[in-house]
Amino acid sequence: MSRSEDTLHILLRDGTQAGPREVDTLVDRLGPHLAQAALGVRPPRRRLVLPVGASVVALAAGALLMVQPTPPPEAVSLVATWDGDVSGVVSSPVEGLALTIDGRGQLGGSSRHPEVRWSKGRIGISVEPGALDGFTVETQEARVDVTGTAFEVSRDAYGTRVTVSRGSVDVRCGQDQDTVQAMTADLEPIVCLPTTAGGLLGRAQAQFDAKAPAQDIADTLTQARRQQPSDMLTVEILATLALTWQRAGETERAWTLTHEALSKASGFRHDDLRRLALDLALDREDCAGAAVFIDSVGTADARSQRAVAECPELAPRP
Amino acid sequence: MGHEIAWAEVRRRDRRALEALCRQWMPTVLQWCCRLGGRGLDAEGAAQEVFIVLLDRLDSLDGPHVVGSWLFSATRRVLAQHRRRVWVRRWLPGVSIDHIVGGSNPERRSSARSDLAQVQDIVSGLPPRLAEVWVLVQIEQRTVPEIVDLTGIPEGTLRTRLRRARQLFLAEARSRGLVAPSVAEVP
Repeated sequence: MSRSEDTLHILLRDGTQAGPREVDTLVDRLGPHLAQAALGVRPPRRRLVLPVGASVVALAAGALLMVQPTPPPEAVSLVATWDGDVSGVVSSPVEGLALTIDGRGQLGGSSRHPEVRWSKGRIGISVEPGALDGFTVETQEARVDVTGTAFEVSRDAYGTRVTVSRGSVDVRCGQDQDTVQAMTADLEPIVCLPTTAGGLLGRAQAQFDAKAPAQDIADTLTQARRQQPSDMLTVEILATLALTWQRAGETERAWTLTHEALSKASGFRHDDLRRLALDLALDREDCAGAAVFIDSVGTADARSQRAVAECPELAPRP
Repeated sequence: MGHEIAWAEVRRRDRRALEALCRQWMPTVLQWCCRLGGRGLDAEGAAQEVFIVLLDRLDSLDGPHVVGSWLFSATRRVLAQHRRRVWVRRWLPGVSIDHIVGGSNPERRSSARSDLAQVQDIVSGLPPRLAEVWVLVQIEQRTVPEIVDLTGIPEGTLRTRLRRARQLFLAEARSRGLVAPSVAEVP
């Protein structure tokens, strides 16, 4: 049925209105946290603090390294932010530099050595030879330095991709950025992988969506686990890995990973994983395993019916 | 926003003042989670997480005037984490979105299969930065200065995002047959 735009607004407003009982329930559930806060007890810090701290130090160190010791007198500071609202050629603050953007990032540095911190999307850069002392594009996982060339940096779930159409650039991947790869127009684009567990999980999920080979996805997720993610992120990594191996027909691997994820999961994710475990138990023709998880689905669910068909002993007793 | 909370009591970590603070802001945060998170997201779980972070970081709040913007920014971060979790749900066998939609609210659950579900899908399909502006203006009917204060987005950017969000929302609503093709284009 067709409605007016306003009716849709009202529909969403009314349909998502928080009711007093819901609010009461949620505030009640905060009880232990309120008690802790009232006692002045701070819960243990999240593990996130260390990587965040480390990256702040790394960023600060990177910023120090990038500071021009004595900028030429005519150099002026550059400050601009692109929020993703502008797409296409943007007016360049510096002569001899052309920028085409479709995404989010920030421009800084000086007019002699502009520096772009790129977050998401694509940025195309063309620098006339000799026009600048240097030009740097940094993403979370890559740093590209250039003097006179035309190149493009794009960042998405897969990582950061650098493509050169004229001249050459130096690309440094990863947090250490100590390995420099020279990149020219005749070479295949360089892809710098995400460096954080969350970023690598995003890459793996994009690979999964694109039906990449299971081993490639598993490699990405193995790297993600090496970053010592939080328990919450570990569960997502394990669940993605289990789904990957299930789709590849590697049921035993998927089964083991699902159990590992279950041991760390809580709430609705725990219920989700129990359903996956039921599915895998049936794939393994493991009626005892299925018996453990059959209560994770209703009797009308296709999985329950399959379980009963394959394991008659699981049929509900009259 | 209802009764005022005595901030000094909150700073002293008085249990009743903390509870009153949570009770005062819970409806707003829960609604943000429902409206911005989309159907597949556990809005109640996300709202609760926001308040757990709030109670953990009380010391970082300068005063009552920053609570709204602080909570909005925390909600953004928590929703981003929850969206990552929702990806897994898409691929899990036999997971019905409906059992987490609306959590304990039966009215919200029963309407999940209706047009409301489609509207939620459209909003959750918008880029998050556009969706938040659209929700604050069109659904919560907040004023521009209020939103600037809440989100920290400059006014010009806010207006641009709102226009873009409305265009995208209307185009998708039209393609789903939710609004008549004759509904005026966004200028």
